[in-house]
Amino acid sequence: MRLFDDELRRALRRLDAPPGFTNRVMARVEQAPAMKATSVWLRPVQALWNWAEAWTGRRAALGLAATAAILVLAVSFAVWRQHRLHEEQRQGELARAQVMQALRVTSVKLQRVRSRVRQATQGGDRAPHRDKGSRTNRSDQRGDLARARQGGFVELEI
Amino acid sequence: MNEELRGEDWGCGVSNGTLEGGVLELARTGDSFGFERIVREYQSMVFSLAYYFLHDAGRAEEIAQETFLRLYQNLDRIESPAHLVQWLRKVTWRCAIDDSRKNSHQHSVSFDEAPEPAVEPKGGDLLAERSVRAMVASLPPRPRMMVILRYQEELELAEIAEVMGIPVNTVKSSLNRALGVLRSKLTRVLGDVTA
Amino acid sequence: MKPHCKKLEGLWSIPVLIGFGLAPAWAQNPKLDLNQLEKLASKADEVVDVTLDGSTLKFAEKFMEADKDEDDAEALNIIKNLTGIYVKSFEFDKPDQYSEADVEAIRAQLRNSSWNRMVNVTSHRNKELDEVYLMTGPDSKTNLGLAVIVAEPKELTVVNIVGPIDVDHLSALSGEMGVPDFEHKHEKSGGKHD
Repeated sequence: MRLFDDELRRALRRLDAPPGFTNRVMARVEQAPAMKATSVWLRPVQALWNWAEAWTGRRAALGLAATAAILVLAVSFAVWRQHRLHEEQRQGELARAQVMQALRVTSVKLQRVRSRVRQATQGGDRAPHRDKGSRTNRSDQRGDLARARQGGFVELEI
Repeated sequence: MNEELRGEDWGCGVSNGTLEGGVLELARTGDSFGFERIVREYQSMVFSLAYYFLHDAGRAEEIAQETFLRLYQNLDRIESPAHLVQWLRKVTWRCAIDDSRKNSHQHSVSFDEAPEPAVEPKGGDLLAERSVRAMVASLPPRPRMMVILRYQEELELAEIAEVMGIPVNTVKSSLNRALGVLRSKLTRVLGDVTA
Repeated sequence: MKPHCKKLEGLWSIPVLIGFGLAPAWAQNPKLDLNQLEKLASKADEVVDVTLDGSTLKFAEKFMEADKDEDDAEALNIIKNLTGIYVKSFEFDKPDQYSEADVEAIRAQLRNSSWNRMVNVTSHRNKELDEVYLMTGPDSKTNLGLAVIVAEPKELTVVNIVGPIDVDHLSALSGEMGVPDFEHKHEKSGGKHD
């Protein structure tokens, strides 16, 4: 067996390239298109391609690449959609908070107005009270918003 | 043209295939001197692979030039000197198999039909070597390259599988069958070689 | 139709009638222009600036959990048919940070016939003004909008609500939504108003 192997090794030992081989290669290289520039971020992709091509052949590597691209797209879409939902939730919560704040401010101010009206009409500062358009008599005037809504209005000067 | 070549014909030493650190990086920058160093370092390996596969010096040089040209255009994909060696072997194999299919000079034959050498070698290693090379060249393409990679490059089965892009088990079975055929033929021609 | 309109003859009556018909509708825009108040933000210590149009209100409604939160249920009931809520409220750390002209710019918009001033409380001594305006529809039953102006030495608030607002319902929110009952607090403090 060893003799056989030795025979094969001897017969198939490396040979020198023909004379001038390097010069001929360099001559062709000078005429060839420049080395393809690869951006750094593409190198891992190329490394993966090389591996796939070496293991499975070009066609299968293309199929793998297509499958990988579809998977990447599907995952990206899922991530984007999740982000959109999260963002929508955030925006919705923000809008709700603004509604609550606006209603609070409005309510507080209306309460203040009502209180001021009552303060004035209950004789807190002895302010003259002019009531136009009200059908009720003076003693019944309360100066609150409900009465104003009924058709009259309250004008007080303190 | 089918020339028989011997390692000592040209008076040049055969490189051991190791590349100095930094030469690859130099070549990547576009430096022609760096790339020339790479060519000189590996031209023997590449040419020999092509020659033993095609058994034709002219076509072998064409394949070897094409391999280095592709290397020049893809230097940025080479990660290390070790990667460079494997890359060269792979591309040489692909270029050689493409060429053999294109030219169809060597028909694919079954193992048992591999022809006996026309002239029986008598004494002298040269004749034995010529016989062995001829028998190897007559093998079907895949087993042929397996034998060449096994005995020229002394690769392990897994390394051969990686170069050729086929499963290790396929390499194992194909190589065993090819060696079995070679052994029996060589025995008939050269006498008992199983000692 | 007023008697003098019957005296109009010929084709001229048509555009006039159309003009009369359209004028109230055109003037009935309960949305106020509050942009001129934005310049006060840079001087204010605290600012509440809320601009909610119809689509935003509808969007916010989706996120109100009426079945889980009483405040949300109350708010939903108020805003369900509204088409806008606009609040500009500025609190200053010292008086005289806004001018009468700033307030007048808002009041001028409320002087057209479409707005009814319901409440006006003025204190020249304290330099305070409280006004409530309501815009009602042609039937005088439907509210189209609400405007509230509260002006104090160190605070100015303008609220404009567009849509059928229930004022009683809104003002009855005191004590709820985390809002203290100002009136009760005022009474407890002995009637002094700060």
